[in-house]
Amino acid sequence: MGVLTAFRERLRPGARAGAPAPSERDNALVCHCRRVTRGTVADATRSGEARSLSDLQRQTTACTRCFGCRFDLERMLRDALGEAYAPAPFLTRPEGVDVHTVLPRRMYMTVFTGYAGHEIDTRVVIFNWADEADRESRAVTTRADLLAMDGTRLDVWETVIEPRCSAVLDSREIIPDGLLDGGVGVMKLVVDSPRLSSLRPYFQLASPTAVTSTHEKTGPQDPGRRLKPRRYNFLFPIAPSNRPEEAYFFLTNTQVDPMEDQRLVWRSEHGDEESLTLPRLELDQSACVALHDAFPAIASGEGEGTVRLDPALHKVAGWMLRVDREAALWKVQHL
Amino acid sequence: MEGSTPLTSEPWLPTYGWWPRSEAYAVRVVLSPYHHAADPAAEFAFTLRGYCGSATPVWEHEVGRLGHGEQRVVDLTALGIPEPPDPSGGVLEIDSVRIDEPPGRNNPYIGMWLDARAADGGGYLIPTIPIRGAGKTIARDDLQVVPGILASEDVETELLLLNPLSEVIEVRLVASSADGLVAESGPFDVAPWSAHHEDLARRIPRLRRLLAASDGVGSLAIYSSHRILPYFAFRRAGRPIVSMDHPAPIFG
Repeated sequence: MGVLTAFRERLRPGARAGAPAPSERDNALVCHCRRVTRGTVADATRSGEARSLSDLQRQTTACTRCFGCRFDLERMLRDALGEAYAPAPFLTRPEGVDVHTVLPRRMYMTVFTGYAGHEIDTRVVIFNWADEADRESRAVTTRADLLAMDGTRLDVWETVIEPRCSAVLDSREIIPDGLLDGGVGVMKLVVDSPRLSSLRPYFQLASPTAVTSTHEKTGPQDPGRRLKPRRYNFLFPIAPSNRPEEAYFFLTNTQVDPMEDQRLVWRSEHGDEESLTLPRLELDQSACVALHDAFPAIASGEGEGTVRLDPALHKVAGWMLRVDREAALWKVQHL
Repeated sequence: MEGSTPLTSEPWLPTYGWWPRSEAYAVRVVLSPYHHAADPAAEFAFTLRGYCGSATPVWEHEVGRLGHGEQRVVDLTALGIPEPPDPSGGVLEIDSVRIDEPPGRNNPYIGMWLDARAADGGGYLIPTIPIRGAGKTIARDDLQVVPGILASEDVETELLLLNPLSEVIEVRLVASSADGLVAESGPFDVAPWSAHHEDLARRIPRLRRLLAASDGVGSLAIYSSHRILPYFAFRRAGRPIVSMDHPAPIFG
């Protein structure tokens, strides 16, 4: 991979390089947006002034932009306060600021690397195109957080994408075996640019026999935005297959309100319905549901219909995957 | 029978997809009102049309009305329609109208899904899209980008361009390596109401050499004299494509 293009700078080496020395740990960033160190957070909790996530937000400014360090901070609070720590709602916007100019874009993608015994890897590409008509072309800083399915941040990378260049993040090069439990996780890109322009990331899933591609899904700029019923459904259309296929519904909650009592509903062309209830998902937490296990009509390849997320309430980042295991063919499509 | 007749009589705009020859893909159109509406009172009507080189459709199939809970999978190979005369295929129009209410200010179109399958296990699943009317803030109509094209001994990128308009669209392609070196195609035309389908490496000279320094990975800028509907797909070592996706617009 070209030196100019890869996500070379890994910002959080302690994540997989064994236990760092105490001083190194204290100097390590926990909030990459606000450049807040673990030592600063530890001082706030040790002094007794910070007893909640919202206290930490006010006192240190940590976790007030992309909210990606939320689980790290909660863990530190739990370690410091023990049973005295009671999880409480946190702030999603600094007081008095316009979220559209202050909060970055949060872009989510699935990451598969060796999932369920499959030989599958993920490549993310971002293109910072500029031509003579674009007077605002500039280098753009992009951060990539690798999240476990439970939202825990496992690693962080950062790159600067020069005009006309592409940044490429290849899971084979950056994610060691075993880091992602079950071989599945989420890449969350934090893009600092007032204008998105050409910076929509696409991701590819590569197997030995095929490459499939689709684009990210962006969460709302203010993840604390009040939930309101959507006028449409997130949907996975199912047509009959003459080959055995597995089907997966992957989704990430991009809002602060937890997803609770959400169901995946299979409805056949004849109107028959079956459903399963999804686990509770908080902000940045994900689920990957094997539809072929849940709904026999899909497993047989004879079903015609749709799987929808019900009720139509949350804004999720979601994708549908179909896998022809015999031919190692993966097909991915955003919802 | 003139093309896009509903544009003059209905406020809902049609959406489009590829109409390939059946020897390449068996295409099923998945019509689901759930995709567009959560309101149980919603009611829709669907008509499908195929175009190839002319604003007059080669065929038309009226699906009829569907209530909110109803769904229909229309297998094009079972309709008895002719093959597209052009080997590149043609343009499939999904004319979806919501009967119980007019469109809102944003997104005055109703996209549905195409599930295409090849005999060798390949295929793609993709929503149909409009040529105009998208609610997102788009900065430019003359440019779209593909982040992540591939060209190497192992993988080829297929490019598909759909022109659902009654005018010729001139296209120019600029491939960019990951570190910013570029190679261009010459300008070429996509005829009205037609599809243009070929390997990207055939259109852009020395594409593999350009991308060789970055493991065969780069990106693509697609310039067009009018907004056009491009798609791309990857084919590994002679195996089938497994997805088809649309490029990204330049967001405002």
